[in-house]
Amino acid sequence: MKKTKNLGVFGVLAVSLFGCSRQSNAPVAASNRVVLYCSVDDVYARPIIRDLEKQTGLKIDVLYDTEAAKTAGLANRIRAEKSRPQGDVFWSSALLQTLLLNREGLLQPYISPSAKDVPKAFKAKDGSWTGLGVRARVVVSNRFVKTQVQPDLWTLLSGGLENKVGISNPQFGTGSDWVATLAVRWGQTRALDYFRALKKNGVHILPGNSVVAEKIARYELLAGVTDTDDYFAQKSNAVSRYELWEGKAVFIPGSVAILKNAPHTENAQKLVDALLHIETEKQLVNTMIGVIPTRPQIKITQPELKILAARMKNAPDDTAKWAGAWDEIREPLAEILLKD
Amino acid sequence: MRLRFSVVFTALIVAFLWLPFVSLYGAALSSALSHPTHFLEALPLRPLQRSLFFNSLMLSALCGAFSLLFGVPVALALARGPRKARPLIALLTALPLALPPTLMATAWLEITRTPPARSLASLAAERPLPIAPVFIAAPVLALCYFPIVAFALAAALRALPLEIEEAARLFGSPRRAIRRVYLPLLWPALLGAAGLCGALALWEMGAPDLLDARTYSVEIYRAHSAGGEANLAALRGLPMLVLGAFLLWPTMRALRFYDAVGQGSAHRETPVTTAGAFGLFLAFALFLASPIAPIGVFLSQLQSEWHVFPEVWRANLSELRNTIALSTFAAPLLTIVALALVAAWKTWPPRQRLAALTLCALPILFPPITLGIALVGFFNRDAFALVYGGLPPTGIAPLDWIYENCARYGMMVLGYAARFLPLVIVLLYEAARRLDDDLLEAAQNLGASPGRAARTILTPLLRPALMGVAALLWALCAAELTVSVLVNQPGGQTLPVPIFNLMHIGSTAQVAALSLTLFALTALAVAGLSFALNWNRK
Repeated sequence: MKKTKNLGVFGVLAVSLFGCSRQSNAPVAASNRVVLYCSVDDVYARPIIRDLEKQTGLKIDVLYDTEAAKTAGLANRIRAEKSRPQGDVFWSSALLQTLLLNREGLLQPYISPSAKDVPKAFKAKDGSWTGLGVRARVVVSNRFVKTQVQPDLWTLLSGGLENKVGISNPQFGTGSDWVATLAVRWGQTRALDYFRALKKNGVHILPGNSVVAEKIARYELLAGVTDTDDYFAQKSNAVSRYELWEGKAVFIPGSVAILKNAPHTENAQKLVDALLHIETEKQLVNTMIGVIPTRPQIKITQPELKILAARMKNAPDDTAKWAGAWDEIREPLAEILLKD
Repeated sequence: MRLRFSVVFTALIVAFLWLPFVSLYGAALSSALSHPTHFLEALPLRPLQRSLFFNSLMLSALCGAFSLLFGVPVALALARGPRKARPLIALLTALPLALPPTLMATAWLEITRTPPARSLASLAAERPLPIAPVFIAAPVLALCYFPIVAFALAAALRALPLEIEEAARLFGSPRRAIRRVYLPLLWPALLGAAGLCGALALWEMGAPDLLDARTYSVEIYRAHSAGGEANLAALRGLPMLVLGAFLLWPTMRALRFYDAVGQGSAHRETPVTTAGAFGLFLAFALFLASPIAPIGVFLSQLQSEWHVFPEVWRANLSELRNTIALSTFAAPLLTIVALALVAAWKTWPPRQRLAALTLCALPILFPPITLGIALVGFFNRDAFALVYGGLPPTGIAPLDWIYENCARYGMMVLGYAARFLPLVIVLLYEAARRLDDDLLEAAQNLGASPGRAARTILTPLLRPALMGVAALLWALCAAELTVSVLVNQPGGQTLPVPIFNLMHIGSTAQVAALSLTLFALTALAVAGLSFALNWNRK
């Protein structure tokens, strides 16, 4: 009986220890650790991070964001931890939250030698952030939709699409970057009027861009606005149709930054160098179809992306105004969205 | 001296369970005093708050009602069905408990997207049906929770004295017997279990989020993630506290009712009736919807591509390892802590015992989403650097290893403890209350210390309950999402978090493989629970 009991205790201890970090054999465990806060979909980020661990010899502990709170969740965690930062590097799938964190003084500048060939439009002058992979906002619609959806945001307000349009929650992820861009380009009043009209037309506010594309692909909704990667994910189902944006497309770069007072600054710089390396961006572009490289020298195969990449060169460089525009539009927008 | 130790121990546990909330609500109150409009956040006055209150109330009420609808026939089959079929029914009834609501929601979402359902959806796209998402979320959640009603009602049915049943049959028509005899004796179990199902639905975040039902849990999580203040989230969560108390009140009443009525006949052979046979038929129809349909959906999504399993295991190795290790560590630890508390209270006067139990059990009313926010706010400070953020390396390898693992997993264990310890304490307290106190007193009169008496008398007598509670805890910890998503630390994530993320991204094969893995793990724990309960009965 006693033997059985001892075996039980041993079993519990063994299973518990099996879960613990395997760093016990490495006396330098803490010296090669780096903590990455990552809002890029983990299905795409994981293989890249695994490769980076092999390349750099770093032990990368990753914290992913949930889709429901994309980017904003991690950004708020960084804010909550500002007195005792836990993370070293923030790899965001969008830009706005990085800009806001920078303005709040929560990032530390680092000009990575790997980012020399990244165009100026996709990096901060002071090195507080550097772009990694760009996505565009696109209007998508179901192939079988009877109402003709023009590649134009205003079509989404038409009577034929009442209650049949979806967008991701504009308070999170690339949705918030999109709103900030519209506020910069259209002005706050026009942008708010647009969202008010969308709401009046029964727009569905969904938890993520992938859900928008998926619901359209499944014919649960007829049209919506989403990101290029989510469009490509559903294009393979041959159900959704791609519509290019009118005139000036909205391009949203992913961003990489080092957090201020990062506990492992040296390792953070090492990780940022590896993340911003051209080979990493190539890997990202190849695995996350729909991502346009910041570097023109990286080749892309999809014709739609080639068109967008060409347009990206002439896109207005207004990212510096996004944070200010977001500050002004955030609350009135939330009021509009929360109204039933 | 001994009494002082038990008091200090109880005080420590009470402090651990209450301090995060005291800190959060203290800050919320002081902020609301300086900005009185913040108090309005707690009241369902604005359209948004009214709609959240209405949706949450509807979800809870409907989930309770559906759980009753699904659970009653199963209970009849369990307590009055053919005796040989009962173990199989018990196993099939227990299995939905191993399916976390998020997985159930994913599976049913998938079912609604099958070709026949999709053609209905396309019709709906042309002419949208006025069905609010809560009306879809409620039955889906009830498919997870109906075993609570089934087991509670079956236990109450088994406890009915045979003489009363026979007298009831002689009393007149079956309808009259149900109204005059069965319902008065069974309603506490029915209402108590339905209330518990309603409360669980109220607290659930993952499934309503996936099903687009806007309830308090979902909106508080989103608003908090969008940069909302923790204070406002705490105030916004107050109506959930009131609703939770309202829903759990019948559960507490039921516990007291059956204690007064007595459970003396629970172990006898119960009769087989026509209602039981009818219940058996309905129960098997229900088992097709849960657990068979969700498992079938996940298996069909794999499309015989079994290689997905090793791929997702490799990709999510640390999450898989963390889930197994953390649950295996937390379940016995929390069971032992609860046992120690219950044993310590055995020597206390009844009033103090009840006060201690109330203090330890009340935090169960706080919604998990508020708990997550409170834990992050409370533990993210220098004093708790060991578990939140980590201490700087010392250069001494074993010490650094301990520091690193505490920083990675400490908050998760604390999260599990804060969420489930009140439940475990209540369950073990109830089990220990039914034991004869004289045995412990006799042991102590013979010179045994309270610790030794607890170890040698209380623990062996409670062994089946302890095993059952530990198994239940294992399953609960392995499937926990709402608190984990807020308190997890880099490298310390468990399986429900990537599953929740992958569901949103739409990686169906990976979701299916991971969901089946999680289901298999929790089903093993639930099987352990059934085994422990059967052992208890024998």
